Amino acid sequence: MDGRTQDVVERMGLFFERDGLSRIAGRLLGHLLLSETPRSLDELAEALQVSKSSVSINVRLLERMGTVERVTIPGDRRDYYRIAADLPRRVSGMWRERLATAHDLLEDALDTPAAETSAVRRRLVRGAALVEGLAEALEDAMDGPGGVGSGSRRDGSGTVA
Amino acid sequence: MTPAEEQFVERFGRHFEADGVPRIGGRLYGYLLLQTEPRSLDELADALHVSKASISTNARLLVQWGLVERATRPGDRRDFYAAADDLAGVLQLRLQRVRAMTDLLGTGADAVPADRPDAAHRLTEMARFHAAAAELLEDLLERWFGPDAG
Repeated sequence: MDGRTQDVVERMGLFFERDGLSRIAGRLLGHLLLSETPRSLDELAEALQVSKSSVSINVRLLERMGTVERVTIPGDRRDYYRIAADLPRRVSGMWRERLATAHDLLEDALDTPAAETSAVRRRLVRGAALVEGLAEALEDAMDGPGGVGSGSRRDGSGTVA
Repeated sequence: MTPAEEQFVERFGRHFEADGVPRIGGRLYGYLLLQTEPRSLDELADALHVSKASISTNARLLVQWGLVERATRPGDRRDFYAAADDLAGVLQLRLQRVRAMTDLLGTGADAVPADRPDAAHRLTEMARFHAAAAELLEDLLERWFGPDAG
């Protein structure tokens, strides 16, 4: 890796770290984004100067998050990793799924005794409306004419302010 | 906590964990969402059965995301935490992060050597996707919270 790509890899690590995620996972994602072909665990460990076990743990985290996928090469028993195909659509799908889960959680919380207090109830209702509106707007932007972020948007439902 | 509240807190923990974020962060946020008063580190550690250090680390992360805010009580020198009700603030912080990621991906697309066309294409696509997401967030902020929020 040259200096500029190295810099992007390190910045991706710091970006992840700031969000409470593993810095190594961020560096791995950065490295794979910049790679032209799938990479083996050994190659990743060497490129990032981390242990193979650490690469293994973090690449599996990225796999679970849906940004990275494992591939095999005929005649080669090793596992290889690459950025998931169609990543923007996949990331958008993940965001929507997370928002839908958050919405369900907040709605269900309305049935707890704590939600009998008006301040708590109001907070949960506003939060649920916000994540629902975000999910709808995201879906529109992704599925509208022209696809990803083509500018096709309809009004997000619900008032959250 | 009642069993229903306990269950909500645990589910919130798993919700965060699925994103690769510490489960305790999710449990902490879930718990604070159900409180009417700010809670001290001691109270939070006690309620969630985790160390004060762990509460402190995770609370800092939640404060950084704008989900939680620090609070004080008159005559009490301890730190208190409460769920933030400023949703525009949460979205604005998210917007900043999406913009930062757009820049980083753009830098990556510029930095990738010419003999890696697939990687360059992927980085450009991802940068465009994040730029579109940022635009969407700006638009929603303005529509939901007024022209100054976007």
